Amino acid sequence: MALKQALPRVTAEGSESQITPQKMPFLARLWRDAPLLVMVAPAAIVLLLFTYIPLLGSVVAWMDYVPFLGFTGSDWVGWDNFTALVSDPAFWSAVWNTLQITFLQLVLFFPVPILLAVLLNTVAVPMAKNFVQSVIYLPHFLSWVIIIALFQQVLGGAGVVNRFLITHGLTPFEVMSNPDTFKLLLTTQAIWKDAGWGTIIFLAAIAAIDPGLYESATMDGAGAWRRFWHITLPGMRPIIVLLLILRLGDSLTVGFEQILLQRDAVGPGSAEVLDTFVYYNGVVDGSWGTATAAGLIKGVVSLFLVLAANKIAHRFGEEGVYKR
Amino acid sequence: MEIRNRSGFSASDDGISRRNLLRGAGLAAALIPLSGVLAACGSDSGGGGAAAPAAAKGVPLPTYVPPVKPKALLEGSAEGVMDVYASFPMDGPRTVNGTIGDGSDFNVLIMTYGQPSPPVDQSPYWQLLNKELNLNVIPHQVPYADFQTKFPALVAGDDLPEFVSVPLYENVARLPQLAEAQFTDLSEFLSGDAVKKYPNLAGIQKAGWLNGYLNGRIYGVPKSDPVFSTQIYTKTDVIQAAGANPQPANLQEFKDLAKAVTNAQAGVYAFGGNIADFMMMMFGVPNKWTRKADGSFVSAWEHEAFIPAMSELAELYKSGCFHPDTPTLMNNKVQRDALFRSGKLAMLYDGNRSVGIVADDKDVVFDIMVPFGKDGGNAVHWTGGGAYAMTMIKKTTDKKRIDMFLRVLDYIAAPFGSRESFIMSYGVEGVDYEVKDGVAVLTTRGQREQDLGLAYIAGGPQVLCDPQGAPGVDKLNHDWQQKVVPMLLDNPAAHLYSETFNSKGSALQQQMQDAVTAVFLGREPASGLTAAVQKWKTGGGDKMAKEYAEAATHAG
Repeated sequence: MALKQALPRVTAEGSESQITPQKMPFLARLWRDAPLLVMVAPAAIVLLLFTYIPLLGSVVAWMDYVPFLGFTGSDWVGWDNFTALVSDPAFWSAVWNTLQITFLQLVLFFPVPILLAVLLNTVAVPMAKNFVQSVIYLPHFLSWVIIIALFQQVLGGAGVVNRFLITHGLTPFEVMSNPDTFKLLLTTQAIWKDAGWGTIIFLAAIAAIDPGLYESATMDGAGAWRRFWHITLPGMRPIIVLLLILRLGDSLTVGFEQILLQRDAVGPGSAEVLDTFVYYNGVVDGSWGTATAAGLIKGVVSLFLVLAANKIAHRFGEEGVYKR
Repeated sequence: MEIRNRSGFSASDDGISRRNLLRGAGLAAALIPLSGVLAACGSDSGGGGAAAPAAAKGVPLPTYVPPVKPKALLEGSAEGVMDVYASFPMDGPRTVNGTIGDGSDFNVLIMTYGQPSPPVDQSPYWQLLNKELNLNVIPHQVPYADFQTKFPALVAGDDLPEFVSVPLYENVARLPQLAEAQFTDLSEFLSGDAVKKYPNLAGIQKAGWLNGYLNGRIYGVPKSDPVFSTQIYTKTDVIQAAGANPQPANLQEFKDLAKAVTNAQAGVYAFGGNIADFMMMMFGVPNKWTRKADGSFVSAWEHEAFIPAMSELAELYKSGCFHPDTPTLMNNKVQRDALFRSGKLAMLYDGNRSVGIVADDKDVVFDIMVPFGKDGGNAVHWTGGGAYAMTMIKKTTDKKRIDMFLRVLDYIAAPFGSRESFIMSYGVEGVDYEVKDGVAVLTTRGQREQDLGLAYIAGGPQVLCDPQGAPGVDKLNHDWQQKVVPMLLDNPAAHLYSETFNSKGSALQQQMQDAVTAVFLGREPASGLTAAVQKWKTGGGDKMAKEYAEAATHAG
């Protein structure tokens, strides 16, 4: 995206000669860009080592892969792993659950950090703002085990709330083990844990908006709502769109640990997602081929989601993840 | 034997303390119902190996030479009742002679249950073992909660250490193939009379060895396991306070008991976990498989009593005598134990081995419910596979190294009463244990240092010996075991090989476990299990039955 656009400008300011970048000799360009290349190298190496090279391992999706027999010793099975997956209703149930949770998290979770950031931005007293920020960041650093235990202690069958209801002769309610509302529970937990943390990038986006705009708007008589609608929101929009699309890319990863910990309480019917399906049917059973096939399918769906979202962003005149 | 740790216990918040295991008898507390329902299935499952159908004529199993044992306070029996001892003899005979190791590193993978032991330079116990074995023992400890993910990763990354101990109830996928591909065939050293070179290994019974016997060859040395699987512990004070009968004789009395002890206002409930296995055993459901007269195998899921048993289980849950947090408590043994100890649960369904954990607190007064049939009379009691773990050595042709490995295991497997066993259990006098009234008593430090995990990896029959635990518990357990012996029921497929079980067993098991849990918690009607069983059959169950039948014919 921005790369092509940025390059000529850097050249114009940074180069000593009048030669356009295309005409510069390769070595000269290399020399000129060396500091940038050095800076990007670690990230590129990490990407290569831990993302691109492991991608080669995807061939096991077409094998009955047995680790101790290796790539050469394991049998090729063609599309067997894929056919086994798509003919398994449990797989489709996992896909469906995953999509539902993805949708819920997009609709319910994604806007929360934006709203929080805007709200935080309106807090005028720096100390109060810092305090609130610290408090809402905190849950991000707790592990899922602790978060779920906390929810259990408060909302569980024998939690504080239900204990109170039972001792007062009222009917207790079931939240932690109710399959019908489980996906909402998951989303609530995710919001409680990570919404605060998610505000950081939006706060940065708000901070980048020219304060002069607000001043002029106020002078012209714009109220808080109009300022938000016409200045804050448009100022944040590119970031929101970018994050939304990137979020879609890994949106099928809906929280392995969080779900695995609670899966038995509500059953696989509502809690089996792609990741837990892969865990039980692939990792635990040593069926690496099936696990990889499921992973590939998930990757393809994610890619499709990103491309589709990007396309929609383009339609609305946004830049998206990359330019058209 | 079993000495329950006390103060040291608090350090490991993890109800399953290694110390209980290290003593010899109290292996792996409560592992059985760890994963909730049907978990006992995992313990034998045949996954630990067994003769594959293609086997050529197998080598003879190691000859059994019963170990010399001190006179027991209460004698055990050949059927599996364990010997009871009042205390550990401190002047036991030496059973391993000569130098064992060559000073090299001894890297061994062990699954453990508590916190890691202190480092070697702070652990006189570890230093003593290094000296005794003339080795630098380096345990690669994998916490039990991580084992199912960690082990496949170690295999996939070819990162297994030289010596590997695999808990058999963990259902490691394709273990027989793994053993053949990566581990050393020990037949030459152990088969028949050859084992007599390692007298303590010769003291391990056949049922244990069968777990490391595959394709007619011997690949692993077992850690023997008691035959008893699971049971219900009853909290005497809670039941007395409710004026109920702690020893029901049939289903109706059992339900009456559960109802009588439940007091929601006071937060007291009968159970906090899934008791599906208990119900099945009460209803006479067989131990995983039945071998019919014509040689065919029929799964216990297809038994006519399975669905009625689950139906009653669901009724029981619905009646409100289970703790409201049961859906999450089922997978949280630590919390269940705590609730039982504090009198919030009147009954605890757990492994026979976990008696040490339950008795850990001397003040806890409890009893063990003798199983009963639904209409009175006997229940069935499923046995395990004869071994808790199997220990193997990575592929090598270095005979000296193999011999050394077996000598190390020979030391570790030293029977109760021997000098070596005492050292393994107690460590260094004055640091790890003190002598009080002629009885060795572990110190808190000694309990911590025992968390090394070596006692899990090899050994013969276990005994009951708990001079530090709640008084009378060993006798209680001994009596219970005697009453249960007539009810013992083996799994005819326990040591048979099934390709399907081996590659898809865990996923299939998980399916059924999920289905049973759904019925238990009232999410699905019991009648829905018919479809689940059908799915299990077409998904691989039928093939397993066929493979077991072939393997059984082959094995004769």
